[in-house]
Amino acid sequence: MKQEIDFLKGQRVGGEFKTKLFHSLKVGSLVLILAYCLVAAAVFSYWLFLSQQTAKINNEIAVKKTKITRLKEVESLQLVLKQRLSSLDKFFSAKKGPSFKGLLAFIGQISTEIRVKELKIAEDKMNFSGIAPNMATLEKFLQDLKSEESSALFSKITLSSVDRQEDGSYLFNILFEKKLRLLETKG
Amino acid sequence: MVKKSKSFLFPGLILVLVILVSLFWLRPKVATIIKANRELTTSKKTLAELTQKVTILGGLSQPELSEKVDLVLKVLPSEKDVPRNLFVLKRLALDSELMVNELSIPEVGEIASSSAETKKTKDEILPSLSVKLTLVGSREKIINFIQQVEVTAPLMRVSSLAISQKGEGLDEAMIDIRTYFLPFPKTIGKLEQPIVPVTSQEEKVFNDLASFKLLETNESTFSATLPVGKTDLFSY
Repeated sequence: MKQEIDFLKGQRVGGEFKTKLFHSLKVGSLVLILAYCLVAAAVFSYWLFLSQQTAKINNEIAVKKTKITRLKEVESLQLVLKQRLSSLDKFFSAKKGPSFKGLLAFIGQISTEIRVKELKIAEDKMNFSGIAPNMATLEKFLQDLKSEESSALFSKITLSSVDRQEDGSYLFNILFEKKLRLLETKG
Repeated sequence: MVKKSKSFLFPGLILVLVILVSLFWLRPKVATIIKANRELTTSKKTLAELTQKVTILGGLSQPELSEKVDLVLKVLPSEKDVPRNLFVLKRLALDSELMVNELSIPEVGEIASSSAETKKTKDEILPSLSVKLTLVGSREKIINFIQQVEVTAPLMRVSSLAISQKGEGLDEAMIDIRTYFLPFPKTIGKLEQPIVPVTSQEEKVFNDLASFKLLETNESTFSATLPVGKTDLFSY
């Protein structure tokens, strides 16, 4: 029986390993290029889609802008109306004091026996200067100023001066501070 | 040795190709995509706003709007209308059977139609013009005049009043009246500017304006009798 000893076995095993490695590298490269091509195609497709979408939307924007340009007059009218109504709304809703009519009516009502020398009404204050024929009339007038109606109109009433005249009448001066409130009714 | 190099050549080439394509094509493309995506989002938003604007504008009736704006401009003019203010106040005083002793505008200032640079004090909501008026008549008639001033166009408010007795049943009233105006908005007709609809509260304000008294002004009241030019230049 003839016996054989293979002295090159180790070398052959090394060669097989290298062949396998080269083969794997080749296959790996092919897979890589394939995957890369797929990614590139996806990127390109998405770019194409975006370009088309942008063009479509820009076109729609242009159409809408043309429509708006045609409706420019309506837009201008609407803007003017809105501007004015919002300013008027603020104006009418602002804090205001009692009406001039209300103040004059109140003073007229309580000063029947008093001669009105001067009555000054400003936005937040009122100055009343009058002549009472006697002390009793003046007392009644001052008493009337403490009424509920008066407290609804004024926040503060100050009797600033009283002077007795030569004819026995009384010249007096009163300072009123008007109550400011938000008005519900307009005009 | 040559066989070994050949085996490495193919993967090497692919690697180089991948790197080169990534550097010179893929990278700029991705950057473009990011930018385009951002632009697309903005464009979509713009389109939505414009669509909304077209819908709102399409729903508005031009004749109805013109009518409303006409009334609002009569109540709140766009400029200081001195002749009209004087006419209305004088007419109201005469209608209330009051004698007009003085009617003046102490500080008119600029009257240019586009004077949007109006001087408003801090607390003022609307720019105004002050008119001073001295009237003589009974107290009731003065009260009636004040009431009429506040419900007649253009928008006016009595800011101060000083009453003194002139004689038996006769008072003299020095009245300071503020007449209001509001210049037109500066940005009329910008395409991207959104349309803000009129609120229900503002509709209510408009309904209140409809009750304002409108005095018809006779144009000849204001027009000065200026000499007109010759119709035939060669006639003497």
